[in-house]
Amino acid sequence: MRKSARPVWLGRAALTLVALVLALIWVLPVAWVLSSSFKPQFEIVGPVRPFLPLHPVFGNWENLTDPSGRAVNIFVAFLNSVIVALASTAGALVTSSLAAYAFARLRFPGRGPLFVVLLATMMIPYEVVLVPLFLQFHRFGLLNSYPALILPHVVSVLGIFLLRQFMQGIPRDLEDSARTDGANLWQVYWHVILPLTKPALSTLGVFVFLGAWNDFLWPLIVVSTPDKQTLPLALVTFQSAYGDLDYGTVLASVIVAIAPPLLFFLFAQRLVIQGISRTGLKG
Amino acid sequence: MLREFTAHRFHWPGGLTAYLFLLPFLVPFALLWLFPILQGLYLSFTNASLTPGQERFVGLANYQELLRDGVYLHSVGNTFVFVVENVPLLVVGGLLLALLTNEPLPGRAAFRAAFVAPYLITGSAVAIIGKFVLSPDTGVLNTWLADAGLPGQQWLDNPGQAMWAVVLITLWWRVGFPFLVILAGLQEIPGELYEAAKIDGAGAVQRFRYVTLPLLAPVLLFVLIIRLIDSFKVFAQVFLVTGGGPFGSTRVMLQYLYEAGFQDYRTGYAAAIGWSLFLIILVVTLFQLRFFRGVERYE
Repeated sequence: MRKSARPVWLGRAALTLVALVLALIWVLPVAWVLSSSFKPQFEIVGPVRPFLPLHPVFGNWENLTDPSGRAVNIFVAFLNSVIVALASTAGALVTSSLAAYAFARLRFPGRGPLFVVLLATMMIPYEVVLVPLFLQFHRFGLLNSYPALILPHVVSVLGIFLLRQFMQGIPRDLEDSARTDGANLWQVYWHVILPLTKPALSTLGVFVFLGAWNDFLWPLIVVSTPDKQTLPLALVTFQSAYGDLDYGTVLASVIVAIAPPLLFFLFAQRLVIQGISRTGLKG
Repeated sequence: MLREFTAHRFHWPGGLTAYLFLLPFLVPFALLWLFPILQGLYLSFTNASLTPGQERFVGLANYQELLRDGVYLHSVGNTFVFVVENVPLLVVGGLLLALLTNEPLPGRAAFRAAFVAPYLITGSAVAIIGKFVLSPDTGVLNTWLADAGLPGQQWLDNPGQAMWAVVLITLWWRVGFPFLVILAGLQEIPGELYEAAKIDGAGAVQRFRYVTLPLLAPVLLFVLIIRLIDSFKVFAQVFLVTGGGPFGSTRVMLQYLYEAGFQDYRTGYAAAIGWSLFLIILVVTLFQLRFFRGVERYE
């Protein structure tokens, strides 16, 4: 016990060093992309590749704001991504919380069988229904539209389970007293249950938002014109249009695409971290 | 879990009004989830193409063809290679990072943020960044290797290395999830247990072996299963970094599904690929739950 003071201090310093090196490795690729978006082409692909630009230029960023002659406008794609992600999140929160309330608190005919159906389909990954889902939107005449990009993210069986679990933990007395005061079911849901479910709602919100914002495969299939492309898709188009001649412009577009979630993460770290780790725990 | 639906101790309100609450969910659920699942199952037994109404029922022909299709079998093999290389790396990597930043180090909040941040980057950006770092033309990594006097590597053009390159990119991108879940699990272990173990003379390794590991087991199992399921569905980063090459050495199942369904327009065949993927995931998950059945009991 006596000699433990120095090893603890030393050990901690060593661990800090290890953590620091790893964290730098994790940050470096993004930092490199950011600094390279201010480099001229020859500093990016040339034989000498400094970390900071030797001849800083803004041309790559100007290329982004001047869409002349290019099919893809990164800002249109940005707007599409924002619309799709926000609408998906709002839709999933509304539909899942309503249904979760019914499953947590209401009795109705067919409740048991319905729950079993939900459970059974929850296991199936959406990639498996890619083809029939595409046919379904084809049938509705909704291919290459916002609804096609949004609606699949709205259906969240996982969200229902998450919220239902949380709602079941809310003490019943609150609702009972609201009911005695003459509140109807809708008012109980809106004024009592929803405010108390906020932590779970924000968890689900982060989850759905990121899912919609990052989705690649589904937009790749349903989108056929540049004006409906979301960011993940637009980046790819951008790279094939610019990749060889203007690497810096591609890298600038990458920064545009990844900055909003990263900035949101920096400012709302706790919310995001809870959102990610809670989907991991039971409930 | 089902018992709660049969025991009616409460007088619950509801009746048919409950369906007003359910309807906004049930309509899209039925149209965009339940029906496509059933239709996909049906299509996998037909020779459907993208023009609807032309399909004929062919029984198990698609599934039989899968077993003879070299490209398909190769993609299954590649997917398994990816899973086997990627899943242990992510879980162990997440565990090590969680243990590291669970220590009271100065600046640990910043370290945690750094490990999680890439998780928020969209897949196609990850692919561009990954190529930017690894490709022989622009690759920063090879420049460093040269500076250090080491030979440059054709990371993405060498069939033996390409999958590893994708696996490392995936580690960088996705480790935030196991990291955070395991960290949350670590924080739930009561500190008194470690104190007690210390008093009993247990060293750091023993404390990890006899306190941390058993208490963390359910969390690790959970992360393992989620990562496993996710890894079988790998697509964006592989498709965009290597395009499935070189020589098809990184073509995974979802890429083949995409090619069959939306480039060759073999809808029925693609549906069969999708269901075969689900079947593989199901079997592996069930096997794993069975294998680790004792582990869950620690809870």
